[in-house]
Amino acid sequence: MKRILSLIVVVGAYLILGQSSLFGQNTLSGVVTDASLNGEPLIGASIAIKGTMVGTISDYEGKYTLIAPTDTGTLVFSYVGYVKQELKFIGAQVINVELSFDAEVLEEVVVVAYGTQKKSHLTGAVSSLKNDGLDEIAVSRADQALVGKLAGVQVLNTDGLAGSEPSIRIRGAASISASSDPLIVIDGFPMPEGSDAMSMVNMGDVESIEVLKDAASSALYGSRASSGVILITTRSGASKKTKYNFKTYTGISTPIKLPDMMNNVEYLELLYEEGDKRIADPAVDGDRAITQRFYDVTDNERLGYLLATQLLAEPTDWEKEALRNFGTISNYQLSASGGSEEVQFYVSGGYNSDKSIMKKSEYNKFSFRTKLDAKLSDRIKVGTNFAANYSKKERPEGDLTDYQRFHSYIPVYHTEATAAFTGATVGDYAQASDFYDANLTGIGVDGTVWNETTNSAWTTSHNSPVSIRDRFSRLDNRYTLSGNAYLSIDILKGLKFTTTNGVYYSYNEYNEKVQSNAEGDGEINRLIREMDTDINLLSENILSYDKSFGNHSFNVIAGFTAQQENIRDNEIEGTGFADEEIMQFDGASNIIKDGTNSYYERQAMMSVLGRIIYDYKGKYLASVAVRSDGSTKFPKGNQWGAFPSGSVGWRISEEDFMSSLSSVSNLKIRASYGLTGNDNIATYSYLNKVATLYPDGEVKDYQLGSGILSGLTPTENALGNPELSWEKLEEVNLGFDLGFVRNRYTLSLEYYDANSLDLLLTQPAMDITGHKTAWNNIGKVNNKGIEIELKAGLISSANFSWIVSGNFAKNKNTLLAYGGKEFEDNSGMRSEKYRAEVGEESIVYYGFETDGIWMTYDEVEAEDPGTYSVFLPAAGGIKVVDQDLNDTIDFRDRTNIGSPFPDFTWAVTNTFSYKNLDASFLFQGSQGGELINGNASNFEPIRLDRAYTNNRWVSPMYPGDGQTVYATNTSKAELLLSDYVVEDASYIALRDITIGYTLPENIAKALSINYLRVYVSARNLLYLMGENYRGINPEARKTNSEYNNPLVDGYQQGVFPLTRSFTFGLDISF
Amino acid sequence: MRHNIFIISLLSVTLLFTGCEDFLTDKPESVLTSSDFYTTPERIEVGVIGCYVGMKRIMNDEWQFTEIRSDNTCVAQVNSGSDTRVRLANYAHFSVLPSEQSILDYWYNTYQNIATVNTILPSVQDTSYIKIEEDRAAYNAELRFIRAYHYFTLVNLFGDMFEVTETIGPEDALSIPRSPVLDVYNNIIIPDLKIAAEDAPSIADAGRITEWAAKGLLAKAYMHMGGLENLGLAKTILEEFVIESKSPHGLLDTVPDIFDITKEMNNEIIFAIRYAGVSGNGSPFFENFAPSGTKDVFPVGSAGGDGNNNPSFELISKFENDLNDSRNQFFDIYSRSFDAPYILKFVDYGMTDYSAAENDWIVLRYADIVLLYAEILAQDGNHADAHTYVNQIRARAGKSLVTDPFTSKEMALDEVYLERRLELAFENHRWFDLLRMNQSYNDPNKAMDILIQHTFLRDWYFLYGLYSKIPLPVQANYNNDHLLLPIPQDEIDGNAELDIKQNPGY
Repeated sequence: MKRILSLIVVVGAYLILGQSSLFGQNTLSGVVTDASLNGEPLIGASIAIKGTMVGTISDYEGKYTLIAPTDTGTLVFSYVGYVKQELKFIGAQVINVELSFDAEVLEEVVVVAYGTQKKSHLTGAVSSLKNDGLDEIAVSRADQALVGKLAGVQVLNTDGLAGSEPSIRIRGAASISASSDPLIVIDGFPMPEGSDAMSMVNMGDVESIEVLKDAASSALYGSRASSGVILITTRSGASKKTKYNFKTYTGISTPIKLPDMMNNVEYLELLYEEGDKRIADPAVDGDRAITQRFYDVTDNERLGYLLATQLLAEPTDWEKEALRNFGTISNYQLSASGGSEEVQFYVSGGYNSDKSIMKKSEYNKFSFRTKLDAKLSDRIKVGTNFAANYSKKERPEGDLTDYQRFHSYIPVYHTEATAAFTGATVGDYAQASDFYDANLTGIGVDGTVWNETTNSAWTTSHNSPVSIRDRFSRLDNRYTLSGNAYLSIDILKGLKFTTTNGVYYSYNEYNEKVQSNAEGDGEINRLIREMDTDINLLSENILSYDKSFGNHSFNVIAGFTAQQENIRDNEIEGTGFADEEIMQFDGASNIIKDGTNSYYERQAMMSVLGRIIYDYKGKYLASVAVRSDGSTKFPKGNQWGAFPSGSVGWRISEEDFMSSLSSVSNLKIRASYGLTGNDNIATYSYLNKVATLYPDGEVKDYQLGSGILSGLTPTENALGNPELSWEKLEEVNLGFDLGFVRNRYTLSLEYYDANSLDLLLTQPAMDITGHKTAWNNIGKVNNKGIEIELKAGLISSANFSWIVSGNFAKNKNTLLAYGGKEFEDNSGMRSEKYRAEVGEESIVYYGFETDGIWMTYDEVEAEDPGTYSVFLPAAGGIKVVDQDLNDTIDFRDRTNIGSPFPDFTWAVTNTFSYKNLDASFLFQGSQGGELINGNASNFEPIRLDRAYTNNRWVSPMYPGDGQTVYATNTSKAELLLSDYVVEDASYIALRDITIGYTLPENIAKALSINYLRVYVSARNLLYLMGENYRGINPEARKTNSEYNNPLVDGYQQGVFPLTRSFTFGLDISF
Repeated sequence: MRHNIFIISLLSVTLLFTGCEDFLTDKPESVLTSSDFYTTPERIEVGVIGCYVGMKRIMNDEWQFTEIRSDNTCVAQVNSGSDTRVRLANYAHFSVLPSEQSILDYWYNTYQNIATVNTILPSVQDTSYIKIEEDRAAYNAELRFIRAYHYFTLVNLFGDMFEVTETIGPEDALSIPRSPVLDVYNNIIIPDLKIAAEDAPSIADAGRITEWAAKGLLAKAYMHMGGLENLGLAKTILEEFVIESKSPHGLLDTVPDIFDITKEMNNEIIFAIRYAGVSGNGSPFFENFAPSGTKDVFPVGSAGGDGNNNPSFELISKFENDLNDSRNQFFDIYSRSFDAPYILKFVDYGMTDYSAAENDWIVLRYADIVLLYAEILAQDGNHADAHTYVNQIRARAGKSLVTDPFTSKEMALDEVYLERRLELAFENHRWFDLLRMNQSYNDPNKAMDILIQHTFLRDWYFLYGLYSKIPLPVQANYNNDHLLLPIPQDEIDGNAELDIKQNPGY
């Protein structure tokens, strides 16, 4: 078809050529029609004379006319979605052109496991993302840019610090104890788990990102693939003139929302205002009139008020002290690519700097990448791919809560007044202890004289958060190198052997320097240094064979791979350094034994793999694959596992009977089944370990008469199990692809049903075993769901186009088996519980359902206190529901009160372009999940936080909203046991807006550059949070310590605020 | 050339395949495993040392259950509503929840050490690992003493207890019910201590179990079991100390010497948990007990100690009746905006680092033995003689003596328990004494009455009149059921096979 078309064009051009004129100015005209739609005119096609600024657009009949400035030249016909044509002209001519639809859109090639495949021929669930503006999103990490881009891929920025690793989940959480992090493969190199591989990728270097979502697509990664696979492909050179590209953006960020905190003065005003209300309430009578009126106001608080009003010009806003006025982010990247027929190269260097709005949170990254491909002969190709990175991450000590709880009568630095009052020195950090034993008399909130003597407004062992932050330095310096070389040989026609051998090296050094008196006066200085080295070696050897005969075509690969990881972790801690600036361990007066240790381990995996892809007439597609892995993570006998998969597809649109439906450009149904594994557990989990330290780091030293001796005992929390084996994931995926009007409208639907089997579970053990848990393969989880990806080119003319694309994903998680138990309650850091119950979602918040608060004293007095073993009734305190209706309130009344899993996630992108202007808007959201707001467990900050004091109960006459507890009328531990702290984590965000302008090609040419684009973008310009959410960042979660357990998730406390950022960017290439 | 590369590549693949076995052979480089670990004398030695460490780890927290809940102490001392203070107040006010994390932690640490003992014990008995019989006997005694000690505290704090005397897996645990307290004494505590008393050497490296440590604890265990027969058994053992003077132990001349960090493991000490004044090995008690905000008392830091375990004013007033009593100097009052009493038995003014105090934690000392003997005399009809032994302690302290023999059992008991309270204050004895008082006075409400008096009458003003940040005590919680702590909720929830009963009242 194409060939015929070009023949026509050539012949046509030849004919036209004959009629050429020799005059200087020629009128060129003609009609542009659509080759495939029976010659219908193409409206708005662009016609330009190459190398000039002369051009026009076809009218509604497809006609055009333009005047050429020269006798000869080349006309360029283009139209969005159609193959561009160039035709020579000599003199005035009529040139009619048929443009044909660009089938390349359908013939898009995507990267899959160990190869590439035409998108049209895919039989599994693969989402592909070309780097089309991804590098314009102002985030310091490639993974953070993926938010909302792919259906079924959830990227959650769990903390607000610069450079932090987000949590990525593909199709929900497949595991309940091992990690559910997807496997990251960068240019074919499977990165070690926990290596934070995505931090090493500079988005500017990325060509495309593919996500292998179903088990059939990912099965070739075998035992590491059950949480999905993310394939990152970086840019390569091309055989053309060397092209230089410079990209940069820079911007600022500000918090979207901050907690609304009261200072000491406002707080006391509130208490007195509430006291006045109580006195006006006849229910507050008798003794209560005395005890209840100001029952939360203490002498200490009155003193705090006096200190704030008398010593300070205005109370200190500690929250402000935590934050910069604004954060800044900037990125610079310079690359060069090019090459000849034989050798191609791509070289780039980048610098990224991200200063978050939290003071002392900063991330800087330098990255370099070199890719070289050389053709040694017709049959032999070699190449290298080398990347080096250096990043420096600084983290502050303390979270936002530490600032919020600090009293506002304390200035950051002593002023003249506070220095005189406390005997401290002006300009020194002011500490709560400086104000102990204060004597102060003055006019109080109520206008009377308050006489507060030898009192302490606030007794705390903590220093001020600013002085702590300034005296702490916490720095991560990370150096990574990854390099590999490949050799590929075409042995016979279609038969190719490729061997790739590579190394990944990473060294991370964490230094925590703490000056003397940091957290409290008298504390000695210390230095903790952690040195973690990871050396990973990979050899992959793949034989591939392509063969077509008749209507059959095959692609067969067989391969052998081996990968080995050596981990070397060393840690040393010293205290009492003579000099605080230059800390050398030989200058430490003490080396702390429980902070000094080393850990060396080696992991290895060797695998064989094979795959056959077959199609018949390009209509009937099938693929089978298998990988067998042997791993050191499991005991002998359980080391090897096989992971098979198969898939089929039918491209109905290619059938003859579909030819009458010309508007349907693509119709395909797919089905796949696959088995993958998960080995993402701690090494040596099958062994019971003997150690010199307790898991919490306590040293097993004991003093006897003969000296201090070391103990060596088995005190691991988890009991080893010599029978351990892989986790397996069995997944069925059904897919449906539809395209209309030459794929201007496309729809992809996926349905999946995945059973995770033999889940590695640290099965809870009764503590009487001496262990908390025991490893076993006993869990079973089901994830099923649907994913929809939609795209519609609503308007597509030469000057203006509007494309809407959207995705939607719904996942339902069900725990099917839990080691023979009905349920298990897992603990977080406070009293809150996370229940894993068979038949339910694998995490359900388990606690007491509340029914508002106790409104009146009578109501409380009418209750028999013997009824309550928890949640003793108190007016203004929480009222819980008697679930079992047995007239007692005890631990048996707990029930399901929420879940961290969203009901669905969605995103909609609108992309507009008008001439050289373009704009895109990404709206994105998550609906229906809940979180536990642990801030309620922190009495000191929430006392001052208006989110917890507005509309609270004051007295029977002033019950507030009837829902908000008065102060600590219910204890913190009890609040955390109830749905009072379970809040809606849904959100809708206008995540990204980018508005850009690309210099027209002809102008660019005139300026002798290839390409120039400027843009402005905003992130999180609009952000709507759930109605009952009292916090400031619904995406934040605690992920360390207790929350490292996959069954304990959804808790936040003291989080940093979400930010809104504005950036300006430039992309120029020459 | 092309062919060569092909051949080399294939060859390397083949080589890799043949290297399979080695490649996947994994010998941990940094990890030791417990299966077949305790097979040499050296490894058994480090295992047993580890069990002492396990005991030390538990001791760090035990005062929360044995002093804080007694009438010796008060929680409030600073006006703070910190988590720690609220938790301690919940213990002191008998309003602790079964979900309380610190109970679970203590429980877990205890059973963890029991499991460690159970892991090493078979190796100690295996004659092929340790050839010297004497060494085997000594290790056997040490491990059994430690296990008995844990069960002794467990039954007294939690009541009926799960009996675990060998290594068990998670499935085994589900079929173990709570055994009645008496069974635990008869099956574990008494037999273990008898063997320990038999097998332990008379003198050992300072800090290790001796025959006398085992005998002391055995006598105490009999006394907690109660009944005339058991008292008789206890009496016989105690007489070895106080009448026959078989043990190398006796009373020091002055009380302060007992706690002097330069005189650790002195003659009076029968068994102590040992700490060294070195970072990571130090005792936590000085920091825990020193008043908060005391720059001058506690040598490190401006915030001072944690002020978590403070003498009640009532306790201090008991000494002020007799100013010659040298034990007065263990109590001081730190005056800031309010009076904060504190205990000086565990101080190390030379320490340079938090939690690096030198002080050992004394578990058994001779004065305890003497007073236990007096306690038995008071109960078994020899109450008239009890005053002799009370006087031994009073004389050493410099306090006036009881001039006349006691005329009644009640009088004898009153005096003996008072003397125990004064002599052994803040050494984790008072709670156990209160428990025994219910038996010896033959009054199930005796202990709780004392605690109610202490909280709601004697110490109310000092405890709660001044400090508002902790929840106030509720008298309804002061019931005999609450003499036992709740079984950790997780442990009940964790067994779907047996219906593990929670202690009544929780």
